[in-house]
Amino acid sequence: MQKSKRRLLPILLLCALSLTPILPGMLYQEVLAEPVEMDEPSPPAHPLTLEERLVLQNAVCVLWQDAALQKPEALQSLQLTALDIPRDIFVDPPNDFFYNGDDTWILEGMVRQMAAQPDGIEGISKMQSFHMQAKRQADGSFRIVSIHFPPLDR
Amino acid sequence: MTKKAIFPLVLAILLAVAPVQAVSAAQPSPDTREVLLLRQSLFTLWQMGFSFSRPLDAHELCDATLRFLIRNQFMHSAAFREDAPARFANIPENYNVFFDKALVEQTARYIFNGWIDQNALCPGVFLGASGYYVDMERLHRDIPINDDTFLPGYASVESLQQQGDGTLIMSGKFRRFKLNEDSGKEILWGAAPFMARFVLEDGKWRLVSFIITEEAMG
Repeated sequence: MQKSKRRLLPILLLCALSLTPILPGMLYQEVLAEPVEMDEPSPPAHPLTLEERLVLQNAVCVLWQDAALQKPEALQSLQLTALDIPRDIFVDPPNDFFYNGDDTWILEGMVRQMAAQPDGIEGISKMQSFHMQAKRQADGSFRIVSIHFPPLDR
Repeated sequence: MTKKAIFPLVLAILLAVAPVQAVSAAQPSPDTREVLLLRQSLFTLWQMGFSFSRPLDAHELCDATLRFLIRNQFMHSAAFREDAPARFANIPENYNVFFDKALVEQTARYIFNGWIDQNALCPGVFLGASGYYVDMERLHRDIPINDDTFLPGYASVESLQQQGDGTLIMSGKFRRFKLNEDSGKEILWGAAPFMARFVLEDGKWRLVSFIITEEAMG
């Protein structure tokens, strides 16, 4: 009897060891499955002005044009009000700004480029969706936290 | 003796330079933010189908100013009855949008070159203690919004010139696009070349003329 217990012990131990990585996973899944209540951020102390919206939209156009500026270190030093205005690039819809709390806004939409086709007819030559996050600094200026242009739609 | 000869010379140089400095200091060229705002204002006027073909009477000025604000600043400058019920206390139910008094009057002045006459407001607009209340349905009853104006579009600025007197001339082209179901591409649906003139007044650019320079397309 004692001998068989001794034989069983390593088997039980092995079983227990093989189950341990699964158990936390199960617990984790249960936590995830529970409905998570997201807190709505309270409204911003100072909503975005028209001028700020236009400056942020222009930044999207500039960043789309120049991929080098999309790197985090380049975004850090970007002076949004000193950027050029790209001539035939625009953002639409123009009003998809969402407040994300902590003086941070999310801007989503499509950025489009107009160009004349080989037959001379003007049309949208390139368009892409974007997701940008921008934070208002203490001095009132904006810093782009992140910008993403998902793979080209068309 | 030499000092006496140099003094009038220096004075003459200073007098010659002074007016140039005064003009450039008083008439700075617009920065990126200002150009974006001016461009947006012109694009809004185009979307409204507005032209400065003749001076506006008091009713027309009130109507044009509120329509402009609804298109240009609706999302960030308007207050809505459902969001701010206290502001609408004792205001008839049909008035559902509010704009700050100063914003309306500045828009009338800087975009439409006029002064709102508080005794001659347009139908659908009511002046309260701190601003203007708008009955959206009434305001749009006579001139409904054209669906085309919601299509994707933009204004490209092709030239921006500052004249000697400080006047700013902006010219360019408006475009809007529509999805062609057959090709799956967005094609040009409307276009109009424009020219506008602005003067600097109290640190802000005031629109003094705006014309569509060629026959518009679409």
